[in-house]
Order: sequence, then C-alpha cells, then structure tokens
Amino acid sequence: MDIWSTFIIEPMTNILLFIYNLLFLNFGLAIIVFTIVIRLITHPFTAQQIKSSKKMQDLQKSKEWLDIQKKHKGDREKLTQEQMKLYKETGVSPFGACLPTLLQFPIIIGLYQTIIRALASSPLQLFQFSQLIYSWIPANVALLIPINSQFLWMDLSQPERIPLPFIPETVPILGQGLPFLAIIVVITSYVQSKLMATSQPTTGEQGGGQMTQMMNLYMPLLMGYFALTFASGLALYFVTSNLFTIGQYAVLGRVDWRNLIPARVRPAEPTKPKAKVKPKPKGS
Amino acid sequence: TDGERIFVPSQDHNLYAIEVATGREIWQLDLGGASLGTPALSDDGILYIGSLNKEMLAVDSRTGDQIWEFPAAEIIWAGPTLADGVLYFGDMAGNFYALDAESGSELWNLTLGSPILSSALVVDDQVYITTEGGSLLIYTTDGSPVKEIPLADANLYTSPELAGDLILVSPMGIDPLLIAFSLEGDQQWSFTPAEAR
Repeated sequence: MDIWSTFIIEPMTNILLFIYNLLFLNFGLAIIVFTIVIRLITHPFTAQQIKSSKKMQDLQKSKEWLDIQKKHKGDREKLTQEQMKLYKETGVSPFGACLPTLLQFPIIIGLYQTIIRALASSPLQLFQFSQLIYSWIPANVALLIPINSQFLWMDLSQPERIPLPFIPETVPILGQGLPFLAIIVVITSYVQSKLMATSQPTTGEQGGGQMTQMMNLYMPLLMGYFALTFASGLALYFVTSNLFTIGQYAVLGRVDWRNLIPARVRPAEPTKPKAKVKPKPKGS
Repeated sequence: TDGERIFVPSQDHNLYAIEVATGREIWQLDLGGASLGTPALSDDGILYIGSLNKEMLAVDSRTGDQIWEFPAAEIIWAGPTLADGVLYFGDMAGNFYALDAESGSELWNLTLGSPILSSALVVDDQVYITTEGGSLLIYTTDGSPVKEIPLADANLYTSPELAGDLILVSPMGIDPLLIAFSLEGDQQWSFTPAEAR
C-alpha cells in the first residue's frame, strides 16, 4: 500500500473534486476554498505558534534577558548558553515561529501533487488521475474530468505569466511575461513571515533569533521561485494561504504592522522611566 | 473519416463532424462526457463512440442523430472495434462487451478483472484484448476463452496490432518496447532498445 497516496493524495484529490463539483466546475475557486479548509484544520498549530511568539517577545523584554545581554556582551558562546538556559527555564522554544511553516511542507507537497494530477492532459495522466477518485464520491465523474484548468487569465496547470508583448522573449523571466502571481506570492509570504516573527534587536542576536531572521528572508524568495516555475494552481494556494494566515493573526490580535519596517540596529537597553515634563513658566 | 467528413471526439464532451474540403463544422453532438478513443465507422455510415459518461453510442454520421445507446458498467476509455456487424469494447472496470452493431443489444460480455484502456483487435474469428494489468487475452468471437498471456510487471495501455501473421503489443513498465506473438498467442520475439538494456 502506498501510504503517501492513500492518506494524503487520495483524500486531498477527492475533497478537491468535491469542492470543484460544488463550485460550478471552477478549479481556481476550488483551490482557494480547499486551501481555506486546510488552513482551518491546521489552525491549532498556528495558534500555538502565535502563543510561542508572544512568549518569546515577553521574554526578550524581561529583566533577566536584558541582564544576560549586558553581562555576556563580549562572549558570544556564553551569551548563547545563557540564552538557551533561559529558554529552557521559561519553556520558550526559539524555533516556535519556524515550526508551523515547516509543518506546511507535507501539505504543500501533497497539494502540489494533487493539483498536478488533477490537471491531467494526456490520456495516461487522466487514467492515473481517475484511479484516485473514490467510487462513492457524490458527483458524476464524467462531468468532472478532465478538469477545467482555466481560471481568470491563468491556465492553472502552467506557470502564470501576463504577456508583455513590448518586451523581447530573449529577456530573462520578463521575456516570457510578467509573473504577477509569483510577485504576489513573494510579497504576501514576506508580510506573513514578518508578522509571525518576534520583534527583536538585530545586534547581539544569536541562536533561534538568527534562524528566524534567515527564514523571514529566504522563505518568501523560495516560495516565489516555486510560484515562478511550477503550475499556477500552486501559486494560487500560496497566495490564499498567506492571506488567510495574515487574517488569522489579525483576528487573534497579533498583527503588528511595525514589524514590516526593518528594526534600527541598536543595543538592547532596559526601559527607563519617563522624565517628568516641567510646566512652562507663565507668560513665555 | 468517410472521405467527406472527419469525426473528432473531444475531451470537451463533444463529437464533431468536420467537412474535409473546408474544415467547416457540419454537426456536433454532446456525448455527456469526455471521449478519448477513436470512433468506429460502419460501411453504411454509422459511427460508434464511447465516452467517460459510461455509454456507447451509435450515431448517424450524416446528421449527428443518435440511433441507440448502451450503458456500460464503467467509463469507456478506448474506441470500439467493429467487425462483421459486432461491436467490441471494454470499460474501466474490466468488463468486455460484444454488441449487435445494428440494434445495440448485448451478445455477450466478459469480466476480465483489469481496466481496458485499448481497442480490441479482431482477426478472423479471434478477439485480442490488452488490459491495464498487463495481460494479452485471446477469445473467440462468440466469447469463448482461448488463451491468457500475462506479462509480468507490465501495463498494456495500447491496442494490439496485426503485422503479417503476428500480434504486436507495446508494454509499459518493462524493458521491451515491442513483443510479438503468433496468432495462437505464443511469443515469437521481443525488441528492447539498446539504451534500455
């Protein structure tokens, strides 16, 4: 028994087909709705991640954290050790912001395979796809396959491009057209990762904080690359997923748009009490 | 084609008749499902076409009017074979049917246990059938079994072909590109491209 196919591909395929049948045979809408369903199912992981982020932020504002920064400023190894010790004592995971993203990978891979198989074009591909369909699915299979791959200006089985006739084909990337969806994927992935990242100073950063920053930079680019080269159905999933996550954060009250602005490089300082404002002399 | 018209089944669920001289559409018929096989055309102008709608249809090639329909148990993948007034075809559940071409009534059927994605070959009084599970089956034209030749680890998606007095099959999933059998089902030779060895 092919475990991956039985427990991931086949269920995904049939749920996607069921939604496709409900949504007037519109595969683009089916991908969007399916993505929302998947995100709702994985919501507990997202909620957990938000909780981890909050704990991380609170920890990094705490007196103990700031004292460690100050005490071991010149000793990177000792600083890391003490930070890890503090993470352990307080039960905070430095990788809490990364794990939900990593958990998405099997879903992304499964969804990609499902979309590619659903958008079968050759008879053999169509046959292989038809083998995945449950016999009890309440739909007329003859109407469902082959899947209608057109959605707005896109062919969901192909990488998306908006033609730019004024640009020669020899120009790299743009010569094939504007990868509009890939650009949206990069932007929404970046916004999502920044909103998910903890607010932290850039100097003296070690361990999990650096990893999070690397993820914030490279993950949107990686997603953009996937969107550029793979079927646009997958890019549609990325955009929907990213927007849904941003919405999740907003609903949970965890959106801080200031995170989108790069933090100024400054050493971590304890908060000082506000200076009293002297009243102005009368008549001046 | 009958020389004047070309008949084109499509994945858009339609069967089109197109005028050879001009490319103009003469008629189209909604089959109710995608059609992936080549229709069979009788001498008196009747088209036979199956579809993913689990139906075999007989259609007047001049007008596009449906003459009869036969419901199969599962979706029909390949085109039918017409020989001596009998229509032969299989479905995805592994059922193989022989129908009277004029009336559409069933003469006999077989349960072969593996999807049939190819058209049958009829030579004299024998019917040659390939299955997705990798078997070449020989039956008489009245449905009696003659021989089953299983090809281990192979899939057979294409129809058997007649070359002289040999039956040729092209398997997938194993090295040989082509295997030749006698009309009685005895393997004569196989051809494997040098790169695949």
